[in-house]
Amino acid sequence: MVTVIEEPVEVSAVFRRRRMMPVSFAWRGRRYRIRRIAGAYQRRRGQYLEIWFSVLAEGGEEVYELRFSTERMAWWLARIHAAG
Amino acid sequence: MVPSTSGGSADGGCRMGDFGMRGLMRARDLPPVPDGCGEGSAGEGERLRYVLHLDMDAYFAAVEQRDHPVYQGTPLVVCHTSSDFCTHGVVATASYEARPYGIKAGMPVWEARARCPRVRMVHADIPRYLYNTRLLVRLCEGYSPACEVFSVDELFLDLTPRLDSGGWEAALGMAREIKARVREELGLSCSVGLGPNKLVAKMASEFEKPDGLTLIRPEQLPEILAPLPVERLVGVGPRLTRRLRGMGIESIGDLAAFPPRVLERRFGVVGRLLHLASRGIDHSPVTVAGTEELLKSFGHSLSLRGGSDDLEELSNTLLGLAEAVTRRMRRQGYLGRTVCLRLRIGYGWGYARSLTLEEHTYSPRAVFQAARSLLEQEAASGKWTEKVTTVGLSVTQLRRIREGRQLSLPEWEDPREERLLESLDRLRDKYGEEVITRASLLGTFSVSGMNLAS
Repeated sequence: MVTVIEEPVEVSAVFRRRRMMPVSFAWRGRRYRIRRIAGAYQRRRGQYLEIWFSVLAEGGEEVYELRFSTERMAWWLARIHAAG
Repeated sequence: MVPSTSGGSADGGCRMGDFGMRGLMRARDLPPVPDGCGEGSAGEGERLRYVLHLDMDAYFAAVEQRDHPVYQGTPLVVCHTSSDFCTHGVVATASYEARPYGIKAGMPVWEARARCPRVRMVHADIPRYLYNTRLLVRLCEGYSPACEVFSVDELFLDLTPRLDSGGWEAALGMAREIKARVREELGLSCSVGLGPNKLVAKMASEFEKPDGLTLIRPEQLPEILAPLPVERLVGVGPRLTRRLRGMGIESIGDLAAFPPRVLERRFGVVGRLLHLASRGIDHSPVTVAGTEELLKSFGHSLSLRGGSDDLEELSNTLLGLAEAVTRRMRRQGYLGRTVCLRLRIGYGWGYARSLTLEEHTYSPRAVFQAARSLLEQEAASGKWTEKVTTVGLSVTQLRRIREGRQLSLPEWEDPREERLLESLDRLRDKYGEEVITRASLLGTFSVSGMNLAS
């Protein structure tokens, strides 16, 4: 099941081997530690760049799609993919 | 004799429609058909080529399953749809878990759901797949500069320049290395075929799916091809299969033995292509982007949520399609003269109407106006017993812009549209397709997330 969220989130990220990697994010008052980045890709939105990450948090199997946009230099939680 | 293979279980045959052989052998490549029984085997009297065809396995679904592990191991369908809940539209790709239920690309979403109620459905995320395709192409170009991107999930590589010695064993080694790197670096599996030309390489890649590796050597061709049913020949679709069966041609061997003159009389140029293809002969080169031969048409189509018989809504869809089609034409340097409108009525039947313009054009306005007039005629005809569920627009009778373009009188009098198109194209080239669009298209063409112009 896919749930569209589209809410701004606060993300902590590190830069490793010339790549940005989110390590945790805070959403609706709860902090999620990222245990695995399952996939990532980037696309252009006009003059801006969007970087998408599909991540799994500790203690759950849901996949969170995080989006970083250079337009606002901000992160969004776009969608959640869950079993069932 | 069987082709050399490795990998999983066998899968279905060719997926191409009519005998167009999109990008494969073309009429201009054809040698004359001699009297008698025709030509010998592939590559006779020619320099041997080593051609690789790579086909990603259930590509869109595999990318979704890799990026979203909750979908791994379950039937998954990637849909082309504008519905938030994937209730309409068609299946773009079915995962291997969904295929035992008979679900396949092109099937209406409702039918897929009826065949397997627990199937999971996700929207096609075209930018995500294109990003992965770019990574794949970059990887493969490291093995040969002659890399032809055949579609979003298929490519050809001509390995000949890289195989000074070693022959087929060296080609197999290179193919194994490419497959391993695709798995390691992209986390995806692919099926690879090797052969002396594009036709044979493509057929070879379909022998063993998923994750297969198949080599068909030139000397194996008659024995391997002859027993296969004729529809396994690349480009032979259901209609052509029916016609060939009506002539008593069941297998590729039957086709190879059929007098080429008779085939040519029955099918024209296609008859000659069929004769050569049945013997594994294909002279078409692996074509690097930018050096392609003249294209035949540009087209796009869109499935409509729940269907529509509202002329303004359908017209707006046509406007978006005209924008996308003509943008691609201008980017690739083409003008076109015949505008073709395709409509699907309900989920049953469809038909097409076309109109030829006075002059060649790449103007979205001219293409839209022609399509709109066809649409108005059809709406007034009373043929629509149900709502229109798919609208398609294509432009044919193409020629290159560099061959010259005759300006129509309105363009001489008012060159503003031309200047506007140039400005829009420059903006899109620099900042991306979505940087500017018509306000009337914002709702229609932003929903599905598909970038029609890419």
